[in-house]
Amino acid sequence: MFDPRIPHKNPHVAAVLTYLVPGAGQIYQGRIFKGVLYLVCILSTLLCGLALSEWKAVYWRWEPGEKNIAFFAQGGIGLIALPALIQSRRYHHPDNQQAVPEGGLSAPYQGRAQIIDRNIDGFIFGEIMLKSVVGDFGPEVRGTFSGTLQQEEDGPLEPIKLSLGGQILIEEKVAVDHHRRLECPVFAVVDGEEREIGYLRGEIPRSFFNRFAVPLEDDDLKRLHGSLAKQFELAKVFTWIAGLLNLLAVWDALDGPAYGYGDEDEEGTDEKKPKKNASGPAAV
Amino acid sequence: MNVLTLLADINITWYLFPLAAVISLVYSASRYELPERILSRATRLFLTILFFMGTVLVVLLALSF
Repeated sequence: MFDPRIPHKNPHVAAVLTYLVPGAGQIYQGRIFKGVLYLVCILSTLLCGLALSEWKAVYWRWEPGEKNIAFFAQGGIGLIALPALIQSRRYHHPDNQQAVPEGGLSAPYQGRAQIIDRNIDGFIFGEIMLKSVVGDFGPEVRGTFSGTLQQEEDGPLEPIKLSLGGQILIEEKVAVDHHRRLECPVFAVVDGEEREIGYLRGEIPRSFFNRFAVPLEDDDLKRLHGSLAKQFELAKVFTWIAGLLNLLAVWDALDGPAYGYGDEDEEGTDEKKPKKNASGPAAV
Repeated sequence: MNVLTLLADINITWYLFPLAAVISLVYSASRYELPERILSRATRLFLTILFFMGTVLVVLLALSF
């Protein structure tokens, strides 16, 4: 409802701002109280839902047999809807399936090393570096691991450096888990000939940027339902409500409060009497 | 992480209170402009929601005997 006492400025800009960040449009219009109220209420509901779901409640997935219809409610907040759409695009991009990026890969690594020739079987942690090179039979991945080996629990820590190559198994860059599984053979020169002598099984960390709002596969959903149970459902409800409430805030930024300024019945005795700024036969 | 663990241990019924408060505040804010009016209407709506939910709870409890 339009009221001349409410500063609308550019209502379309305000609506877009509120869609992106709850309350931002009202703050832009100078309606600080409402802006802060929307910001605190809607954002806290959204963040609470995200935190309860381990930051996995909001994602965009639209495939035959698995459509996340709830996103249409969650999408009421641009702050979360836009990253979810971007992450879906990144997740399905062919580059995401590429084992090692063109620029190479360097990351902290921890896992298990099994090298039979050297009687090594223990926990390792350190830095792994991989890069794509052109070998005798075409492109292949080569790299090194340098770090520390611990063969037994509470055993001595030994420095270790390994050459890596061959068939490397590495999970996608953008996915929902905190870590990327990375397994690769260990190579060494034996009797003047380079050959496989062992294997590394471990993982490298996946950044928050690469796992936030990423589409959940069926297995991910099963795992989340198993580990979080009702909490995951509750978290989703929080995000739906936050998204739907923000639509009210967007409408408020665009068109003002629905019922009026709020001083129409200051006495609080007769709420049904005609509003002062309402148009009707009495105004004619 | 401790806060999240604490949140996870709370019975989900208690989440109704902040959720009802948020819904009441945002809904009332979208209806009126004056802060006093928003807060008074939000309080009324909040109590109405709790009364309604409490009534449903009592009815369900009665039916479960």
